[in-house]
Amino acid sequence: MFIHLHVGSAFSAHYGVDWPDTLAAAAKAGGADALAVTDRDGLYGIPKHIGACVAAGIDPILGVELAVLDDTGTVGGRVVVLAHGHNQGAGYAALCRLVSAAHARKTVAVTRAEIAARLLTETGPVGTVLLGPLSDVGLKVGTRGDGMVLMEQWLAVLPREALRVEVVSHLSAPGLPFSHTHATRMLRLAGRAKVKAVLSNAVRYVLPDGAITADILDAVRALRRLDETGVQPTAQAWLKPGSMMQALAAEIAAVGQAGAGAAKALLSNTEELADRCRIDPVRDAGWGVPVMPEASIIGITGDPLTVLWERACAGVNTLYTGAGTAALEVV
Amino acid sequence: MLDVDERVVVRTTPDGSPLGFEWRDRQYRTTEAPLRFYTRRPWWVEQDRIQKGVGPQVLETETWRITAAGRGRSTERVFELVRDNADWVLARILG
Repeated sequence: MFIHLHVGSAFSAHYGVDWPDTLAAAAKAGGADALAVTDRDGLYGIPKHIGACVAAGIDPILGVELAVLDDTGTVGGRVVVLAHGHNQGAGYAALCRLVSAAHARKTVAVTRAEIAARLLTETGPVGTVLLGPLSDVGLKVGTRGDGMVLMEQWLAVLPREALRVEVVSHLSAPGLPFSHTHATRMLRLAGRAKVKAVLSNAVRYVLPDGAITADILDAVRALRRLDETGVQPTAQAWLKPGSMMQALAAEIAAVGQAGAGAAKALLSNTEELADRCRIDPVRDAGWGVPVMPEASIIGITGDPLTVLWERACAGVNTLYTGAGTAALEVV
Repeated sequence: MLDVDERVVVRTTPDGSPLGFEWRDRQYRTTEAPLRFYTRRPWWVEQDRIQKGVGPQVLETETWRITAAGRGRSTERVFELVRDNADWVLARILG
């Protein structure tokens, strides 16, 4: 089984194309029993995603795609952070705090140290970081640079169990980002760094047609014409069914001459991480459980019902001032 | 690099990967695993309307980069074949 771990929904402003219910239904039809949502810069799509997954009968996986600041304070790349599940919401809470930290800045972004601080707990990591083609490591590898130096900076703050190399190929021309060659270089780096590699399709739309909308979203985001911005290198960022993703893994392994075992490992690592990130809608995310604000927050110290009665009685006298004693008795 | 842009007949595996082709009355066979990739088409220039579901072939061009040798020859050359549904075009020879 193949599970998509990197999926931008329409809640990724000017980036993702399709709504969570469309994505969840397609994932189910493609043979998956779980689906991630990893919107850019926020968790806006998460309630709809959980609802859509519950309706489709699959497990939700929750994540976010965030810009990461390098040591000089400029954005070095973007990573996906996935919450681990079945930990009474510890993973999801870490995700929420991380997003809050990102939005406390003028440029929405986090540092590596902030990611580590949120994900690492006494009982081990509650989330996993995916270093994909748009991460600092991926960008470096994409320009034929050695990604190892940046990888070591990640390994300095996060243990290997909380870190994955995200291998993506949108079959763009050899040498370009999101090409087979880029993917095989990432795979090779993962091997050298002894960090497990997972496969994703960095999804932006549910069907190939969605690429048209994605092209337009890119132009709108840049406030430029289509022929000025240049379009996505390919139209392959769709929610491919499991069989196609398995074939893709084999193709990448073959191009990289990594052997048949490499494709198998890539797929089993992906499945293993997906299993770790399956969310229990109720126990992890409080799905369907009404939450009232704590009484103390709105200044109530005694029994809430008594306080409500007292406030109502006092309210009658101020709200019906001109009504006269007889009418007040009726009220 | 040599631009060719001529129709050729291509033999493929059942899953569509080229095994060899015939060009100017000579048979060529692939000697290494071919590499598939896509390049984008300027759909907003080429098309006035795009029907829903038409998808990939309007949006991108499928190209196969193959290393092949002509029958009876040992020198290998790198070719780029462009596929348009069942039709193949030898687009260029890279070297």
